[in-house]
Amino acid sequence: MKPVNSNPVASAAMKCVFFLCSKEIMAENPTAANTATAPGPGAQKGGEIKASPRIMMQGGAYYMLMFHEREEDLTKIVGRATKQGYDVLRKGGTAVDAVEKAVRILEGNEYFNAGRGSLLNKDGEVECDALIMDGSTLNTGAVMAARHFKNPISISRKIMDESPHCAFSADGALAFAKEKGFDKYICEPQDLITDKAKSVKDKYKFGDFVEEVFPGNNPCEHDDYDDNHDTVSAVALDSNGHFACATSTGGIPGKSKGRISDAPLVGCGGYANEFGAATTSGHGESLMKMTLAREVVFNMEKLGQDAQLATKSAVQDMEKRIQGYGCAIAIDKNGNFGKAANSSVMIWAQMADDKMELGMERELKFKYDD
Amino acid sequence: MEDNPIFNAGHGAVLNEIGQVECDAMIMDGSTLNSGAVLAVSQFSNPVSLARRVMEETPHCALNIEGCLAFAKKIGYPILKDPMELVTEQAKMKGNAFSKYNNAVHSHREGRSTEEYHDTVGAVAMDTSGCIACATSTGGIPAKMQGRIGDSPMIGCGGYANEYGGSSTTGHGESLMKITLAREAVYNIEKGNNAQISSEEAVQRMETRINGYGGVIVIDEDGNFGKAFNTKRMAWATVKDDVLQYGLKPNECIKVDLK
Repeated sequence: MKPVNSNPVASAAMKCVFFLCSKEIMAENPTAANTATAPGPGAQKGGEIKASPRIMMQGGAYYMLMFHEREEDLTKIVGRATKQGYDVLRKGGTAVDAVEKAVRILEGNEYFNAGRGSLLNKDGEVECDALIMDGSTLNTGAVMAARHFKNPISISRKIMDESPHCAFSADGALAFAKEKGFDKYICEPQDLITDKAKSVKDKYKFGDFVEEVFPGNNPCEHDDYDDNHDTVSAVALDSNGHFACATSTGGIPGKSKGRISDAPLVGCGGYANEFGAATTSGHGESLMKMTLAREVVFNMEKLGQDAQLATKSAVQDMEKRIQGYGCAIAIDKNGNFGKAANSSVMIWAQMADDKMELGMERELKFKYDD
Repeated sequence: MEDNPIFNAGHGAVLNEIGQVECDAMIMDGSTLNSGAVLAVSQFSNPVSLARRVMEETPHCALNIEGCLAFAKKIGYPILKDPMELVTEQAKMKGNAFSKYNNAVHSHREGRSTEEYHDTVGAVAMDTSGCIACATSTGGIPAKMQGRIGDSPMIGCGGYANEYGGSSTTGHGESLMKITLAREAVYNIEKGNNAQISSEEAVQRMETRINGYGGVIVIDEDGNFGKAFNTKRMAWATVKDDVLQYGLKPNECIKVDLK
């Protein structure tokens, strides 16, 4: 394993703070402050939740580019998606509504590796994994290796809400959607494949990609990988004190057909309960082995760690234990945001109290004591 | 147990709503955390053995049916010509009894599972070097919808193993997933509980939080066994130091000296 950068903090963190106190938002939700103090059912078990509604997103744990102006554009797209999710919360929507909305936007954007525009597998197909989880009921819905849905997160939501099950394979999800008459959710597999994804297809071989991207090499050495993102995800806390999380991904480029990533697996790609919510991104096989999202929530619920410490220690553990690379984001019951990555880059955005912060962090390397 | 038609895994697994067998299985090596899983496959006699090949011979941890078929062809792993080979007459008869998924879940909760159909099978083991591993295999819940994925192939839901312990779960898959029961049991061990307390607390949490039903078997790093279930029955057996113990109902334990 290559040595990690010894700098304990982000060596080149770009962070912007946006104040979005538009009259529009304030007018839409005059009672937000009141509703936020009312403890919801989740609060009874996890302790009283006083934090106002909030949402956090990440747009990928790796992102190899030459660092021109486009990184700002991409960060802004994640910011806009986060804002849309936040608007759902401000209008009294649930955390589940918010994370679904926010993830849908990135699925619809071809620069992100989810939904349409996902990176292709070895056979040149898009196969999407997605998961949504309602932390108040622990209900979840997931779809695996789906090829027929522009918005895998929305069919996951339908699986959660309208089937007796939590997860479906590609064919199962298609049969379910047809049976339930969700025709508007269904598309042809080729509708998900963009020219952009086709044009970079031959660059990617799963093994080489993982080897080169996730061990955290200097991103500037890998100009070849300048068009890809990883799993996108969101975590949110609503005005009732309920948490939710959502993940969506096209998986690692060049993967074998039928490979299932961490993203649709409860506890691996995401987890939410009454103590908090977490999602992950990175080398899926490593995240699965650590059940990384569950680990972050365990850290918050059983060790009383805040979201920042919980994500950081979980990612550190993954690196120590299996030299795994990736990132995690989380919200705890006090409303703290947490993010940690040992992958080369993570694009993130968070919004609470009408204030947005967003940024792209590079080489967030931890120095751990052996 | 996959080969034995009595158990709900491999041959003789229960049927989904369209009369097919779809198997889920996973295996995990606690020393390396390597794991392999197969999801909703119907062309393999021993899903857990294929899961092991996935673990050892692919860069991936989990493959669905299409991925498994391509992989099996590549490595020459035996593929059944007709997936209906896994369907037994008994399963067909039982399939009629559980033509509705909700009936099956209800029956499960009542603990009728060990009389009328069997649930997920699983094993946890510690070897002479102290490494722990787990494996889980299932046909899922009778009358499940086509393509439904249960807890069994999901790391942390159907099974989990690391350097502190290993666990394998059974029961209403959707409930086990929501609580990540296998990970919960191992996490309890990591926090200093023994295997028995860890398993009891994990099952208790599932019951109080989501009224879920199922069971878990556990081995901790000191070699203790733990088992807990809130269904009426769970068939279990342990072997250590040439002593076999087994039981079915709560507090039932039969000892056999193998020497």
